[in-house]
Amino acid sequence: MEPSATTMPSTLADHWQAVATVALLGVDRRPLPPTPAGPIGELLGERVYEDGAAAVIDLAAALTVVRRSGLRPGPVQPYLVIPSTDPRPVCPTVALGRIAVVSVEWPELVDEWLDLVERGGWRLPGDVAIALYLRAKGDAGRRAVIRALSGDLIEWLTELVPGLAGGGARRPADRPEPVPLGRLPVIDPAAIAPGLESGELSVRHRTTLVHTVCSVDFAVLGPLAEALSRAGTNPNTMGLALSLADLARTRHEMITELTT
Amino acid sequence: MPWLERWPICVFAAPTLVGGRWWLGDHTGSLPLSGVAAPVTLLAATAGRAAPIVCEWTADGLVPLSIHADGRLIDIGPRGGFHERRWDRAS
Repeated sequence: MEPSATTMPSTLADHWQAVATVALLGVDRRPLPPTPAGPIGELLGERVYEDGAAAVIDLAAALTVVRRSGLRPGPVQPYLVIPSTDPRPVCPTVALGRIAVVSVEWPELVDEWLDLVERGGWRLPGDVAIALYLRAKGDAGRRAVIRALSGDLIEWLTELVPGLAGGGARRPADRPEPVPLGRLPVIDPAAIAPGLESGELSVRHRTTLVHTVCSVDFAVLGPLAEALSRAGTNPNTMGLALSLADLARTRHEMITELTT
Repeated sequence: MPWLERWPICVFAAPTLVGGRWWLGDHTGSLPLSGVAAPVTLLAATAGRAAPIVCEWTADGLVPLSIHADGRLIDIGPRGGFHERRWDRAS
């Protein structure tokens, strides 16, 4: 098979790609690109190779030297004007791990988590603050809380990175807007597990059940999680029962982490 | 190792913006960050201050991978670490 013709790559990165391709395919299938002018041409000179493989290695070595030496440290650059230091202690690490999970799996708990952080007198570390801030797009109230929990950081970031204030993940079209929790009824927590077992409660009541688990007193959460974990005999509601048990357990652990 | 295009390094440096490009710098010099997008999590985690940052050195610039800040190791790698991937995936 005749090797296909090659043209002179235009940039150093293109040269590298061309040489890497030759190395992968072999010189029988792909001819080596012409030696570029400039320092690489001067380095390799008019060298004649009998072995194409040796030419590949030499050109690769020359390109490597030029590319690496082309990224030497530049001059000292002026530092950014930094935001003022927030004197509050940073939120406990275990709680930061919790919010990363909660934010994805039980977003209904995020506002309570933020409230607990505020009451504990902690501040949010920057990476968590900006992640929560971006996820709270369209929720001005939550964004205000996050701003308050991160000192001047969000203000500083949004000035530094134009467009950040309006940025963030959009709610997918197939996900409905959440119902304000205050408008939902609350079910007696002691009736949840029996109701799921009997089929009286089902996935149709999911929103109300989630709201109930998010609203009940801390002392109820442990027994509720236990009862829901055992309410797995009805195949129609078993998944929901286990899911609610996870919510109850997660909320229990979340509150424990930020209050003890 | 001529075929190796990436090399891990750890620097104690601060992010900065000069000439429309993002850099990591200290009192001895600076290196450009690879890519054009603002390194938002890097900026947020450091708040513009110098911090230990693990990067990949490439011919196109530094690729930040993780930061040591607030007593934690924060994954900010381009494959979408903890903060870049999980947070954004959920709505």
